[in-house]
Amino acid sequence: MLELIKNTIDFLSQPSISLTMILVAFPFVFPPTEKFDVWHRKLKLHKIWTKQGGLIGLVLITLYFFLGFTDENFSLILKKPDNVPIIFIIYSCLYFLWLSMYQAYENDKRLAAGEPVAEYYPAKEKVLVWPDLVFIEFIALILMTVFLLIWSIALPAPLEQAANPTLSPNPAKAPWYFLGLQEMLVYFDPWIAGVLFPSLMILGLMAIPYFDRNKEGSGYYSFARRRKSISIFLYGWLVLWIFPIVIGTFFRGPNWNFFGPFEEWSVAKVVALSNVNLSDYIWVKMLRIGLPSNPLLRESVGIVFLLAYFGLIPIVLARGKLRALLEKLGPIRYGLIVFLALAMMLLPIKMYLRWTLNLKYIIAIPEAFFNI
Amino acid sequence: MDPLKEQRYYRPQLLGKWFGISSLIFVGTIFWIFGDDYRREWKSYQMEFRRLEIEKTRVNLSHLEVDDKQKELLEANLAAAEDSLAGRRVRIIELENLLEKADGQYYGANLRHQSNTADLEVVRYRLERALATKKGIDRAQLVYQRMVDKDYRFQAVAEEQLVIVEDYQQNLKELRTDVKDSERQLAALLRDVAILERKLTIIDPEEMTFANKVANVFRDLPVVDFLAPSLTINQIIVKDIRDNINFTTVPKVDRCTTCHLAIDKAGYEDAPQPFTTHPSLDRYLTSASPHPINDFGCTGCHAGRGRGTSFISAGHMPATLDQAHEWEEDYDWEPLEHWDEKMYPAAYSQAGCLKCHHSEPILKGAERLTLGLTIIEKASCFGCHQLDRYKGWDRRGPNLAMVAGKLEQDFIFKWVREPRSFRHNTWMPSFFNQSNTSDSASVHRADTEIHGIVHYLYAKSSELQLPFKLAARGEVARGEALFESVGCLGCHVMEPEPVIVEATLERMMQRHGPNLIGLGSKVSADWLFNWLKEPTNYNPISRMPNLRLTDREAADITAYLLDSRIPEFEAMSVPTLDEAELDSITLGWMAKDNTLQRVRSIMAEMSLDDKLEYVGRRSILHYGCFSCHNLPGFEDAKPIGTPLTFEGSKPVHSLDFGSVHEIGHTNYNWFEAKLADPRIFDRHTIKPHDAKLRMPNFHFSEEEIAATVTALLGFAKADVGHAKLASQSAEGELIQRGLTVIKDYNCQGCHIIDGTGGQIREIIGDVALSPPNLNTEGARVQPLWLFNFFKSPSTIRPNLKVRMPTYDFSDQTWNDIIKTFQYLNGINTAFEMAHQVSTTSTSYGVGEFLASGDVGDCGKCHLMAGKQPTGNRADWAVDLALTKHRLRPDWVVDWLRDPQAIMPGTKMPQPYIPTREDVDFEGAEEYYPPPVIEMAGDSQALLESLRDYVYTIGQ
Repeated sequence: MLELIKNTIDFLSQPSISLTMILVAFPFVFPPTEKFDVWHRKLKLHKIWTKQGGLIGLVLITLYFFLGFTDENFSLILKKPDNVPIIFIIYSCLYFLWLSMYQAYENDKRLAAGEPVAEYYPAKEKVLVWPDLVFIEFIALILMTVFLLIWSIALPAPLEQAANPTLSPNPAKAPWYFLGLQEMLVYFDPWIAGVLFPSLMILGLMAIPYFDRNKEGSGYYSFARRRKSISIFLYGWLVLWIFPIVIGTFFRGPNWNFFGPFEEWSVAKVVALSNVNLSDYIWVKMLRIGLPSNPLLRESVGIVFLLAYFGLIPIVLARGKLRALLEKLGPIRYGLIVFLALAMMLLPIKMYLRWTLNLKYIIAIPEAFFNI
Repeated sequence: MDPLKEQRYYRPQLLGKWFGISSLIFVGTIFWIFGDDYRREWKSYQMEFRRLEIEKTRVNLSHLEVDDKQKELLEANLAAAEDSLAGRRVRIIELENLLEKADGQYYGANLRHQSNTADLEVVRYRLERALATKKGIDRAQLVYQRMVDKDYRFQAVAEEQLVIVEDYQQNLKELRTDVKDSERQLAALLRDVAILERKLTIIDPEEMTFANKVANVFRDLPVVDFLAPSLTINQIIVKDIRDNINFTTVPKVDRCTTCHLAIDKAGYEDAPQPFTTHPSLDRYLTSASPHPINDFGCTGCHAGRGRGTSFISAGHMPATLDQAHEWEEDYDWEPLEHWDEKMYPAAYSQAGCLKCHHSEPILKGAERLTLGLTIIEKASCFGCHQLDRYKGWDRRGPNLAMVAGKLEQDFIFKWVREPRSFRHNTWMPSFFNQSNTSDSASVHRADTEIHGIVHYLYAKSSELQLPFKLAARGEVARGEALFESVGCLGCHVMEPEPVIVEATLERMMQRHGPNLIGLGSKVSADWLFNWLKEPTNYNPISRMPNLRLTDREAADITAYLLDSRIPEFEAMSVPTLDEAELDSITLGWMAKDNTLQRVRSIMAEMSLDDKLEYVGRRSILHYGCFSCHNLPGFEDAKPIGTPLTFEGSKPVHSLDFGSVHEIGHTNYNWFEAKLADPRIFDRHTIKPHDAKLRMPNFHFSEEEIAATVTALLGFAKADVGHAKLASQSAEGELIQRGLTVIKDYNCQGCHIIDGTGGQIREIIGDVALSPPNLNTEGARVQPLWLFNFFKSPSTIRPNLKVRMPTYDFSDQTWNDIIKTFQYLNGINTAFEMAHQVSTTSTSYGVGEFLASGDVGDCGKCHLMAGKQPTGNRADWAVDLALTKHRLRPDWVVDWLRDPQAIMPGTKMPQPYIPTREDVDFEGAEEYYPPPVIEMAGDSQALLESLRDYVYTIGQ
């Protein structure tokens, strides 16, 4: 029975399945539109953001980790001192997510009933700094210092031998906060996963105040009034950032192969690597002729595809569903927002293309070190 | 309501409480940090050792016996001296007063003199300036001269005063002499006690002064323990054994003695770990040993993390899983993470010797390592595995270039399939039917491959010429007697049934050549006869020497050896060739570098013989038969195994454990498992035949595996300074080169050389009838004679049945061997003056007397220039006429002085050498010639005379 549960969890943890589940469940948990909200409430998913829901979630995750500790392989991962912050991240991330959603839902209820939001009462735009805030901040600071000191005593940093550049450990993992980027390297070349995407993330985050001129929900928590913005942000934060970190920490073993949480990290595990480029699909598999020697001609389909993805989709959307947005924000803001959103979608798209079609690159010009 | 109170989120008192509690926790944590930092594993060991040391010192002190009578006497002397000193008290006080005054006078005079000397230096400098600038020379000269005179005067005054002072001092000293002497005598008697007592006052709180007691507690307290703690980390820095940290190397730093506190101190042999004394202090650690601790440290030999100061962080490694569990319970042990070079388990610590002793074929004191190296040489591991240590060594197995002239095809088939079915203790390993090839498909495939191998060997075999004709059949009984006496047993055994043999170097030397059972089921009489007459005829690089057997002797031994047969082996049948399997194997190999279509068209044109030859060649290439055997067509084939030159440094994760989980995850556990079953790591894997592990099975015993693993661990990268290398001189290297040839050709099977070998004595029984002990050969014989003897051995001892064989060595090799003998005995002269003795000299006369029938009677046993001895034939010994060309005169004197010391068990008695007492009686002239009486008692001169006489025999 336990074995069956473990095998099931191992199976479900594969990135292709777990990501799909998350993507499918996402709009029902964080409904971006009213339609989804109807389902959201029908499925009673809004109960997650109540006190009982939060408690049940906490108990479930804790139970899962306890189950993990009883397992030889999972406990190895959990007990590894490097992974302790990731366990903290899971708890703290989910706690703050729950807290903000709880407060947002409470406010939504008040707003629906025509009452002022919770933040309206005690604050009135005034915070008692001395001594209240300073005092509790100081206490928190002391306790946090105590916590860090005890952590460093209990799990001291190991003293290793001098690093040998010719012998890297297997798997070689980045520090935990970079594991999301390292996970992207599975699907993209370093210049994209390591340079372009991080830059877009930083620029995109910096640009949020310039894109988002909606004054609704400013100064208080509310979900109903900002459905789209919050779910897009949470998609980026939870699905594109936290999820790959967890995958990279818990599920990537020797040779960067995927291992379920209860699976033994065997160096000998083999995963078929038979990925091919889009150009191979077009010229060799479909047209049954050799690859053209001119790289631009060879990759023309991929290039057209990408140009269409970033060029046509915004135009089509502007004429259809997003006409209101275009009118509200103007063409430049609209263009940039759609570009960033499309870039955010590119990661799961590429992942799915890899899993379903074994697609290596959409555009592959190794002559110029240009692969997408 | 108070408006202030209204504007509060929290009650201040509550906040204050929280602040107080969290601050207390914080302070507690800070103390915890100090405590955690202070509490180190090694400190508790040091405290425990201190208790042990106090206990030991007390016990030692109580065991020290002081002669009480002597002590009382000396104490009485001291008391008496002190009494008489009291009588001289008035005089002493008077003298002391005078001394004080004189001292004051002297001090003043000396001060004046010194300040004047300083002024003089200034004036001298002015004079020098004046001379250089040629200005005011006269005046400067005048001043200078005046100052010099003054200086002499002051000096004289000071010296006068000094004489007075010294005079008083001398007087005082004389008055106190008796007391001082008595005190000194008493101190000498109580010296040992005083040392131990002083030690106790330093380490034992009960014996300490109050101040020391306080200091003893205070100095090791946290925070202040940086000043002068008694608990300290001990470290040894070894400059020329260095640790590689990838881009540079750093000197080794060993802190092992922080806990192993008595490792270099005798007396703690029975103390518990970590306080046990090193088991071999005469060889290691002490300053008198060849490996002092300050020059070699610990991890230089034992490996591990020298900087570690806890049981785990030092990299201690258990030899077995049982020990690992024991350690887990006792020390919470776990393998040190993130550290490749862990300690050798105690069983393998000899691996460290190879770092510096890398050219010695036999390492005395490292028996396990030596055995391991010998096994590697014997099993020819370096044939398949590149090992720089054995670069240039010949193939160890028999030559197969003319095998068709020696063996039947069926024999080869059965032998290759399982060598042990013919000879139970052969060194030819088993290739087939191993743990990864015992399924029926693999066995079937193996049979076909062996058919191919046999076919290839026969097809490529060149014709064997047998120049010696076996004229008449020999006699088995005579052959057996010869086999047992002529020297075959120096290298061979005849063991029809398996016997349990201790794995030692000596037992391996005894089995240097094959166990000669069953030759009747193997070779023909003609071949064996020819082989015995001249082994190099069949195998030009055979290590089998020529014993110069006559036709009759060779025929007898042939008859004896062929008399042994193995019926079970003969009865085994050879399966018929399965052509379909042959086709499939051919196809499989060919498809490696061809398309299937092309392979089919090639195969269509191949005859059965072609296919057999092809499969044979590919199989030989696959299994690496050419690594040990000379095989036509494989002269330049590359070794097939993984290189082992630095195998000991290979990180564990480069070793494929496959699905074998029941062994420890260490390199030595891996090696052990691999040697016990070379195919074990293929367990639960599915591989095509050519990807399967193919190292053959040598059927090693546990001890053999342990020895081989020791050597493998020793094949490691090491950064050792030139000064640490064992054979760093040209002489040392030459000795090792010579000893390597000596070991390779098993000279030590018969002779004792450099303290090792001579197993054939066990069979011959009588030391006097065994091959000579060559420990002193370099000092004993003249190099030219030895060279000629090697080239053409001649009879020296008439009674010896065992023969010195003829080896086909180059002059260079013989020179190496001769020099090795010489260097081992500290001799390095290649050319030596012949020892000339005049028959008219006194020494000749004395020697003749000492050797004469009435006195030494050398002629009783020794041949004298062909003249037969008078004694029992069984005791006949070397012709003394050989001496002048053969022996070195210095050695002969040493030999005559004490033959047993040089060759224990020799029949040569110590010659009679008259002492002074012997000739000190009335009428001695009647018995002794006058020069003998004169020389009596001077044994050196008399022995030299006897030697001189011997050098004239046969002149």
